[in-house]
Amino acid sequence: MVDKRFELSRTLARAALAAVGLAMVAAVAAGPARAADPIRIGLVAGISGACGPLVDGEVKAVELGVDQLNAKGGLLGRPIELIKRDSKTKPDEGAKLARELVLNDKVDVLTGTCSSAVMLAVSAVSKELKTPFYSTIGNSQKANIEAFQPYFWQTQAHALMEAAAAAEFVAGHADWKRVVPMGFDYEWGHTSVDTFVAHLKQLRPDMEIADPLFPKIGESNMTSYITAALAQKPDVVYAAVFGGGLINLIKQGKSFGFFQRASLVTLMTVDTMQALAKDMPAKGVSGYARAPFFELMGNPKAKAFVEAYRERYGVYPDDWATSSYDGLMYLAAAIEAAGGTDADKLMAAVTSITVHGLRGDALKVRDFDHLMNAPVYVGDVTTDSPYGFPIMKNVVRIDADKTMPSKEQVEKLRAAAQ
Amino acid sequence: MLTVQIVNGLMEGMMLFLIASGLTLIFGVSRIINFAHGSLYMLGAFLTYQLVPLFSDGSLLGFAVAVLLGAVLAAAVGALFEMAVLRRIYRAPELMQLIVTIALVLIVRDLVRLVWGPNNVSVSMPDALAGAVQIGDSFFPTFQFAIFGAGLLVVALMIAIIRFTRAGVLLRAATDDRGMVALLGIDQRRIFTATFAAGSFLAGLAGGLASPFGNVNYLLDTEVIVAAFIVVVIGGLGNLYGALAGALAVGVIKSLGVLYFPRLAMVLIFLVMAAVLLVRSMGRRELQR
Amino acid sequence: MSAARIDWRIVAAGCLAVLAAIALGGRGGAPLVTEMLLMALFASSLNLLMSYGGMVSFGHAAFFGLGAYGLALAVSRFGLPVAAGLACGPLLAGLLALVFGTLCVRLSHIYFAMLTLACGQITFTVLFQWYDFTGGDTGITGFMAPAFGLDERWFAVVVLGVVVACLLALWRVVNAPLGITIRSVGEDPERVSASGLNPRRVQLTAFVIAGTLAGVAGSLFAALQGNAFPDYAGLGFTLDSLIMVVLGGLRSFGGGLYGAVIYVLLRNYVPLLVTEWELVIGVILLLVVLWSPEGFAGGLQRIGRRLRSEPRP
Repeated sequence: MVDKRFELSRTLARAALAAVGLAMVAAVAAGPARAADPIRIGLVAGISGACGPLVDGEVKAVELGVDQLNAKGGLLGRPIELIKRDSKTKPDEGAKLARELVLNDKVDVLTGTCSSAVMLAVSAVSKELKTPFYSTIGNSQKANIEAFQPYFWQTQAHALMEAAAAAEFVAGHADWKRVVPMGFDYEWGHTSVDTFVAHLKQLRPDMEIADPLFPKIGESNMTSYITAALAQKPDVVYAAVFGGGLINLIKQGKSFGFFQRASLVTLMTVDTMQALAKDMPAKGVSGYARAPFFELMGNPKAKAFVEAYRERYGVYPDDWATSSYDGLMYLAAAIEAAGGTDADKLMAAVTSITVHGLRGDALKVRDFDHLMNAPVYVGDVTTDSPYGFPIMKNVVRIDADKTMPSKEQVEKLRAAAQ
Repeated sequence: MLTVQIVNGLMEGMMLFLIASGLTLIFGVSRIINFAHGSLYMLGAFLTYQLVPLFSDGSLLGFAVAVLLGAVLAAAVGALFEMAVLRRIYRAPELMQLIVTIALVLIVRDLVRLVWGPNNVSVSMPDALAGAVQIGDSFFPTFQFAIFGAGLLVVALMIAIIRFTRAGVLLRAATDDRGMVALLGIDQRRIFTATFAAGSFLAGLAGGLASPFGNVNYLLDTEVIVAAFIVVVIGGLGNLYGALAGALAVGVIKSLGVLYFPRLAMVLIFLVMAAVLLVRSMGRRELQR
Repeated sequence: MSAARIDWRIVAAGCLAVLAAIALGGRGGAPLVTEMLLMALFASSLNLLMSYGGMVSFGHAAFFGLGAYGLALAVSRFGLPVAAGLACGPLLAGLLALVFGTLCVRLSHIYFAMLTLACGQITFTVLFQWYDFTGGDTGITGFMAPAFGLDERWFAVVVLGVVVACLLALWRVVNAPLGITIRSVGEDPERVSASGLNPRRVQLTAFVIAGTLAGVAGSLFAALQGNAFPDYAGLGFTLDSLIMVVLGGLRSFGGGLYGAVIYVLLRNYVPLLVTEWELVIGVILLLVVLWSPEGFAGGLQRIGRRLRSEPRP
């Protein structure tokens, strides 16, 4: 007969053994888990507030990209963890969230900002906490020039480059003799107009350039500006406007018969063409764009992205989505090249690698201002499209070497800002 | 050039009047500063976006039906809000009413995002209004004339209702002296509900009517509300004719500002608003003496 | 409101609670505590106008923003040391409060509110558009290390000291003869005027005090961020301040404090849980107002009364 107390103690002993075993298993399991500590990316995006309409595609594309990378086993054997925060399109909120992400959530990289103000505020946090930060929507050149700091990089054409590309495009139309520049009344709009005018004067000294017009950002009623522009009898109006304000300009312009009398050259992104759909004028609108998916379909990588995006979300990616995905993949390549997420090694990799991305096979970031050699696409908007919304035709890719400010120019601008 | 800008300013002014009319009506009767007025405007625009394809394939009549239906739905939302929330706090400090309208702004904005998403959408222009009218060598959108006509119609209807119907008598009585209406044995709550519904209807109507002329997204509410406040203040709070005059004045000032003070466009309107308030306060003091 | 003496036990308990929050929050959590403290000062300054002076301002963020720009401009454009800049912020805010206040106190009620709205928007627009001087929408950045380069926790402690000092000073003002006059002007300007005082001068004094304190909050906010943006003077901050005061409770000294704590916590944590944070905060606002039209402070008092009159069995 077995003593019940012994029986009991044996059960206890077995339980204890099992517990030790489990703990050991857990410890073993935790060992590799610590080795596979995830790479954390903090996405500070203006999900609500003024940037909401632009950021939607960005968030979708980054979530898609992270899932794709994880499905392939992550980077360097480590999974990627995306931590998403809503900056509410407020600079103070964006900075606070960035700080929390770095200090509490231990993110390795920051990204996601859209408005110039939030971008500059987050860039300051990135500098202070030595955490790499890249921008895929906000493109104020200030972050590359006056407020440059070594942990920031820009993965698209900044405002100076876009305006220069627009000037190249306008200058190329010999029949255009008179232009009215227009821009939203804030830093980006003014910088764009100034750069456009300066560039155009060099390319086409014969061109008449009227006094610029500056509607307030997102202006809901553009009619006074439309009539003021038309009164100058222009051949073309250059408008550094985008999003909702651009839709107002186009729809109201259409009612004035604007597009029968002049052309418009503006920042034309896929989301704007999707929103306007059949309300887009059949002719008279030309655009410069950052990453129009329909122009990239010849690149197998881009085609695969567009198809995956469509499959997951049921829509075509807008420019913000495409360039954000491209930016994420550049980061992935840099992390692999750096062999980790150490900030200084990562930044060294960022400025030394060359990446075959969606927007070309030789994307790289130069070292003195951390600006990517991102192209600008210019073309004419057409409603004759296989996608159910307008696209651009006769698209020309303007390479970055034509639009990027030189090292001397950047240094001059930096000195002037001091 | 000058005439073009003035005509254009008047057109824009009428659009502003449509937005501000409901706000001034609600303030006149209930003394509530309705921050949610812009939200109901936005709701009207989105409902029109949703309804237009059901009723209109470019036809003006279908568009009008969609806009009116959208405005009626906005009115229902306004009435519901008044009955469910505002009615409970009329005795509380006036500020509480202000705060609940701000709460409504937040709620409507997110609901609109949930239903229609964060992206921009576009309402097509009815074919009949798509063209431009040529005057001299300038062109003016047919649509703006239609809006101007609609604005005049709203003014006429409001005057007719206020002057000649029993509801209008009560409305005037409520505006002038709330106590008197209570003395007459009339349920003041019904007047408030009806006013809120009417004001919301006007907001929804303005949003629907303006929708083909520009972008529609969930940020419209804030864009509209400050402009509406300016108009209502310049016109004299609660004063319908004042709102009309104020709206037309603001439209013309803005339009001429583009010509003469391009760098001051944004400040100009607020300077005018401040000046009007101060001048009016001086006038009042003289009256007091 | 009635007791004029400062209850040091409450002050000490409050400070200890904040210090505990800073210690628990660590470096990552301390900026949230700092923000809460600064919002409490900002809201309390508005509360002086609203609860005591009977003046509703729709432009109070102007002074918060001017406080921030006073510091940023002094350091970046005039090369002053940061310490001097910290004095310039409140000074600039107070100075413009004097200018705007002189105009605004000529009006009353809703007209006063609308004139403050105009003044606030003019301030915002000037900051937004005067590129050469204010940097426009891209603001002024990089003129100082965020939080003076201090550890986030130490900065929060410094802010705690300043905010407590400001609130104690405000308490003194409210309970001094000046505060009693402000209150009686808020209740009935005509009676005050009959007693030989100039109600406008009293209102202007309150306006300048409120503007200066908002400027203190704004300066420290800019120091926390190491930057200044036009948003700080914008409608968003104005609405936030109104919501905080009303949520916390009108007619109560602590209204601004309670409101700031509740609102900052809501605004920080709700977005982590749901994308539709505005919807949730809107509904909570509605519920609080329906539960207690006197705001949080009023609701607390009511609960307190109920507990006292109906002791638990």
